[in-house]
Amino acid sequence: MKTVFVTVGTTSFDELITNITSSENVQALKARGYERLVLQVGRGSLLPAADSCPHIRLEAFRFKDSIAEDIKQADLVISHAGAGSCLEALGAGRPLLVVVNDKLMNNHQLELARQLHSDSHLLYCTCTTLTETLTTMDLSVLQPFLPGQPKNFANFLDKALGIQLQVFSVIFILIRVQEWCLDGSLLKRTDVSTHTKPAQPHIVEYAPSAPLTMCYQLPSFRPEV
Amino acid sequence: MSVVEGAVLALLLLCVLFIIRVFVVVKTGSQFKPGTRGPVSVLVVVGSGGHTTEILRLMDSLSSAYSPRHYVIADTDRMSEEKICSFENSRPHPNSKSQFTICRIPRSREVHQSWTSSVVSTLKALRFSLPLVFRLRPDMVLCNGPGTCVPLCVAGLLLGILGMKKVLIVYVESICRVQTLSLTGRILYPVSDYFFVQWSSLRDKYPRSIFLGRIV
Repeated sequence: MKTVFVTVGTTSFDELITNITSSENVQALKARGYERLVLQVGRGSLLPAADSCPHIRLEAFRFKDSIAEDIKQADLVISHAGAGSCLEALGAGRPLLVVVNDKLMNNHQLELARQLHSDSHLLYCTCTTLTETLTTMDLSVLQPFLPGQPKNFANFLDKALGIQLQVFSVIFILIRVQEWCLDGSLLKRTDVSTHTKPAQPHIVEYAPSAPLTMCYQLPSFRPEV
Repeated sequence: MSVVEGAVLALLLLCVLFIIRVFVVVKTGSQFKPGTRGPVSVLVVVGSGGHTTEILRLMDSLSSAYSPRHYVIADTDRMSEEKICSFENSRPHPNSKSQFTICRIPRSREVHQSWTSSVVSTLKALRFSLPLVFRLRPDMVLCNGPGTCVPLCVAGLLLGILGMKKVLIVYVESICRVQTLSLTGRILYPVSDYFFVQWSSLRDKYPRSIFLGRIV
């Protein structure tokens, strides 16, 4: 069952809750094939009853220890502009529509939502444009949000603080370098002599017309720690 | 008359010397490489909510060369304590012993606290931070924005000023900050040794900061 999850975090955002449960927005959601609507209403004064929306299966709650499960089950997340909610939904790889509370201008939390919108990681609207957005939105334009790379931070700090590589990681790197050298020479030989018989499984995925240099990509160099 | 003049002059001289000393301590931070002499002890300032999640992701990326790890949390914060314990227990221990401690100090600034009262409570927190930092003598302080980091970084800086031990101050600005630094960030920008930001627009505004893309 296609589900929409609406979250307002620890704030209250009654306008969004009223709007999303209005009949025209429910119709817009139904038209897109969503059949279940889950609301996390936070400190808001509204807690809609399950039968208040006849056309859609409605569930509502105030708070939970973790909304990770609700996000995972949702096919669309509608959220306020809070940084935590945005990052959680994007981190779980769910399409996200952020509804900005225009009564809370100059809130620094909007910074992140705006930036993520300009990088096309999420859709962005206000309560007044919600219906229009729900009807016309195109979720396929959204770019996946790749997780940050704490490893870059660790590498930088190791270097800056002069932390030496431990013996096992040196050995590990040597093994990888050796593998890569062998790989490279094998590739070279097979590709020059015959194009019909791929020697390495990972050559297969390249199109035959692809330039030969593409085969020399380094194997992914990420020690599993 | 001349005694007063002398005293004023001496005081001025002392101030100038102090400023020069602070400047030298901050400037020479990048030459200090504690990692060449064995494990690096870290003081980690843990805030609440999103701050905790971010800093634990950073800690997760650090190797076991960073030990022991001292986590400092606000005394009203139970959630973070649980998170730290479960995080530390999930870490692989190559030497079959995990070295970490959790220290509690009074919170220096509640959310939405006014400016003047935060100054007072920060001073109060400094009273607890000084003995803590002087006792632990960490090689570096890692923090990412909760108000508690200010007194702890000041204490670390003081160790360096007194010439007792250089404490590196590593600050990572939260991913939520795209255009402007947080209050803590603005305070610590001039005194930190490594100041990380996660959006290029901030790097352009603060040239001393380090930008490695998103790191949490």
